[in-house]
Amino acid sequence: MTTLDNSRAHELGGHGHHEGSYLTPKGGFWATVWDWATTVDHKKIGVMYLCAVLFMFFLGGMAALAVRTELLNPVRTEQVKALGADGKELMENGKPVMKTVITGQWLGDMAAWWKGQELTSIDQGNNWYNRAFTLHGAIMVFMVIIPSIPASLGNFFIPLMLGAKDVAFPRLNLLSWYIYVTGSIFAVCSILIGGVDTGWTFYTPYSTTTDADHANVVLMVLGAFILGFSSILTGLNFVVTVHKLRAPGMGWFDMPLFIWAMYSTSIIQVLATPVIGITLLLLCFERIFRIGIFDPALGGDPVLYQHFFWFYSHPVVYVMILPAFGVISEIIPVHSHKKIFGYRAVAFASLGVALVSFLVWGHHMFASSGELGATVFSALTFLVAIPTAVKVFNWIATLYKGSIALTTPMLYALMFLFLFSIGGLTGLPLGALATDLHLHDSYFVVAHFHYVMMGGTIITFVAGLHHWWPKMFGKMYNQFWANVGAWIVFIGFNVTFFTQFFLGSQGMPRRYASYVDEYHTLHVISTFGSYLLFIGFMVHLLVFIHSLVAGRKAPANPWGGLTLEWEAASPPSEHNFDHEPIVTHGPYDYETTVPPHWNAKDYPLPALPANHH
Amino acid sequence: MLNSLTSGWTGTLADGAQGWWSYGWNWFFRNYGANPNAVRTDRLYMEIFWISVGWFVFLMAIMFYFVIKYRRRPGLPAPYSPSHNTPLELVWTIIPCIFLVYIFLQGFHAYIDKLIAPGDSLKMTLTAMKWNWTVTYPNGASSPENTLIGSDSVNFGGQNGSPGSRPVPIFYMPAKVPVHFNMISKDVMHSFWVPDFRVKFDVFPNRYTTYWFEAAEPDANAPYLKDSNGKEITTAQGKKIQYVDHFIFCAEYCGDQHSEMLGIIRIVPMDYYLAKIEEWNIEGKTPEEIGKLVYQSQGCAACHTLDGSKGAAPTWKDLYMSQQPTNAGTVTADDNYIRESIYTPAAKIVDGYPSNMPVFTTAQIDERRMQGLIAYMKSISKYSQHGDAKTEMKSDAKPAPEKK
Repeated sequence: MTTLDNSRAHELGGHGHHEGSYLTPKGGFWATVWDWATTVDHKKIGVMYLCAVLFMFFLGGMAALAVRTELLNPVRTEQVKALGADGKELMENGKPVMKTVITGQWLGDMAAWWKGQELTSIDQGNNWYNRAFTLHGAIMVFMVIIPSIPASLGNFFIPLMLGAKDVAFPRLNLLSWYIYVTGSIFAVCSILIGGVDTGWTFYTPYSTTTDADHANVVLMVLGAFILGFSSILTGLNFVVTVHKLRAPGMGWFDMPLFIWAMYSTSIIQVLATPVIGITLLLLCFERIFRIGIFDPALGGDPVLYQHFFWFYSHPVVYVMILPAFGVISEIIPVHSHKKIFGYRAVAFASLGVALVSFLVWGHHMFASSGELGATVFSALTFLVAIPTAVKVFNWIATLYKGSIALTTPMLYALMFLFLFSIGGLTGLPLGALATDLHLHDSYFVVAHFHYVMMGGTIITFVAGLHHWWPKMFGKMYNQFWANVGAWIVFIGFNVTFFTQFFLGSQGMPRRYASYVDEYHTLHVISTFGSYLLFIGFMVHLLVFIHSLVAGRKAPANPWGGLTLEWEAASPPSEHNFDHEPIVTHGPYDYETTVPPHWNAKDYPLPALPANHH
Repeated sequence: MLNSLTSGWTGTLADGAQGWWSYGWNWFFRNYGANPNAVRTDRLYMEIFWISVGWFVFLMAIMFYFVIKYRRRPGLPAPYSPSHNTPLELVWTIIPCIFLVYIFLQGFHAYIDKLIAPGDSLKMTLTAMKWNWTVTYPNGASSPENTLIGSDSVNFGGQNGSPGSRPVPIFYMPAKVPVHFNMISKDVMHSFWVPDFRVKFDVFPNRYTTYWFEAAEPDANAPYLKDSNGKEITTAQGKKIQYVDHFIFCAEYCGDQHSEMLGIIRIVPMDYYLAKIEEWNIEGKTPEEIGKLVYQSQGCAACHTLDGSKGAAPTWKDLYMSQQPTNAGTVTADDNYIRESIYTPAAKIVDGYPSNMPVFTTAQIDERRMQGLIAYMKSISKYSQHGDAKTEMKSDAKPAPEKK
């Protein structure tokens, strides 16, 4: 809402620059709300997705902080001297009376304090912890990371980068937003009526038997099922958009790499999401009608569930990371004014990763499957490493002889390279069978996937947000404070998660509400890191709010980008472009093209070698 | 028959595993891998670690160099440079492949050795349930011992663990002998993980999975086993027993007490292991003997005395069929009361005692052992001549004689 009021204030202030901007309010407050609620404009839908995703990110982040706070101290029972009603020690036969108290259950203590009771069993406190980490996992995976870049930045920028007026199916696009909101409401309801303690993976038979009287699990699973449709529709929309709506002159290899990445992502979404839909539906049937597909007590097979689940959820790891690759492939060339190194290699690596991602789901089950399967899946897993490594090499090579500006997006992109390299390399001992049998389901895995999913996707999402923020909202932000926020996030992230590699290899299992004393110090460090991380994100929030309220007006092309979205106004008009753009240069031809809205004095072109054509 | 896999293995990691890769080993592992396969895993892990460090430092150094060297200078364009170089791109595709193939093959070999148990291993059954482990030894016995992690008697290679929130079972296992578990779960999925063995494997309901290990002997500095009075235990030959403990963790999320589902593998010499499982073998023992075994092994003796003196909990002398004043009124300590007090101790609290009796599960004290406990209590109670509990309640409505 700040956005609307602000851009409106600008108008009233007589600047008049926003005329025709998609942010220009249509009449009064309610008319504007109605306009947004019924909009088929991909930009507004993108912004609505952004708001929804950021809200869920906040919820999931709070759950993460709760999890970390619980893990500050291990759960212990202690014998203490019992106190009478008068506050004095109870004595009997000259000896103090002892009673048992439970310590180290922060969440349980909070809940008990809220209800005015005392914790009486370990189970009660642990149960709160289990709900908190399930909440964190389910929200972050299904409601934040999967839709983060594709649904918000993708929706906003795919048509702009293609030079199109909108996505191929604008109404479907709005529908997918409403489906997303519906699914999220299901999930939030399941939390409000008591929460779910299954973990985000909903492994059977635990998920089909826990909390047997309650509908929480069914609600949460249905939420994830519904969210899947949002994902499918968005993916379908993007595939058609890329095929049909490219501007005149834009061949497949003239597309920005962000489009290639989103295209690969969309293919995975369309092909893999139906599988999780069916699986989650079967899980609901299993719970409600006891049909016996997954529950061994009814003759089912729990490993079947894992196969179904990971057949989707492994490819979806690449739904999460491929868009991040796309964003990085944009930011690095733009902020170093350099043509991307090995365009085709990066583009095909995206498709290659998408293809191989369908063949590696079994590596989540090395500790439960037979030798042959595990061996084949291990080999295929190492295959994924190659295109991913190639991309990292290409990005670093792009920096060579560039003109590198350490803007906030660029700073984040470099942090991504740092964090993602660690995330990728720590995948090696997990892909190798012998070491995985030790590290599987330990904190090593937790650290690894946070380096990839958070250090990869979330960091890139924030990088992309800073990269395109001026375009989306027409405002600049304070680069100094944004950089400060970035550094705090970077340090906090490493403190939080690097410690967890050591925890994991030393033997700390995942999803433990408590632990033996040996792990205490590392857990304390990790928890303080997570607080730092929180502070960093709060700095970013303040920077963004400040930008919306008092930010300098953004030029149309603040960074000197060459892709088509930088030709549009900031913020873009309702129809994106005044005239249909015609593509005359490649997306990264920095050596031969002065960026739109820049002039040759600001952007001198380099001398080309004689044989250059 | 027993020493099939010990060739070339001296029993400590320090001998079998040193090299360029082992630097920094103790950052990642608390204890030496407890057998050759575990040590091999550590070696692979550390090799991958140093390979990764090499790549990471190389890449980041280049990145930082570029960022500093090619920082933006106003008014100066980025100079031209080729955006494609086939030989370079081939090289940086092929070199990682070589590393990946090496890591894959190493991982595969060590994995097969970890999974395929030698044919002559000792076979046992491991049962997982919410939230406990039991091991059934080849003679049908199962371990009745448990302890709080962190009590002085626990030896995790010099570290004492930590005070836990509830007792965890101890499984005695022989050193230098391959042991093969057939694993099954009674309820949901669990995963059996002994970090010192560097292997975990999932445990399913309705399906067997297997796990095997061979543990090194306790080293020369290992402590000696002591009984509850702190006296060193000796074998029949008068030999003292050295031992080493390994944590068991459940690694597959299984609910409220997932993080309390721990256990201890205690490695002892073969002869002591054999004596121990014979001692726990309840076959051929009378109910009273079984009850006494349970009394000793489940820690009852810590609070309940047998001679009538007052401990932290009511004495068992003359307890059976006596009248007990509780917070739920006066009750007769009959079979059902005893059963209830063991499985759900908080249900009725005898006046004058705190509520701190641990809960026992039907897995820890099964029906036969429960019957044994009741028979044992009966054998030391003067009220037991009143006969069978039910008959007593029906035939004699008068209050039983007062407790002394």
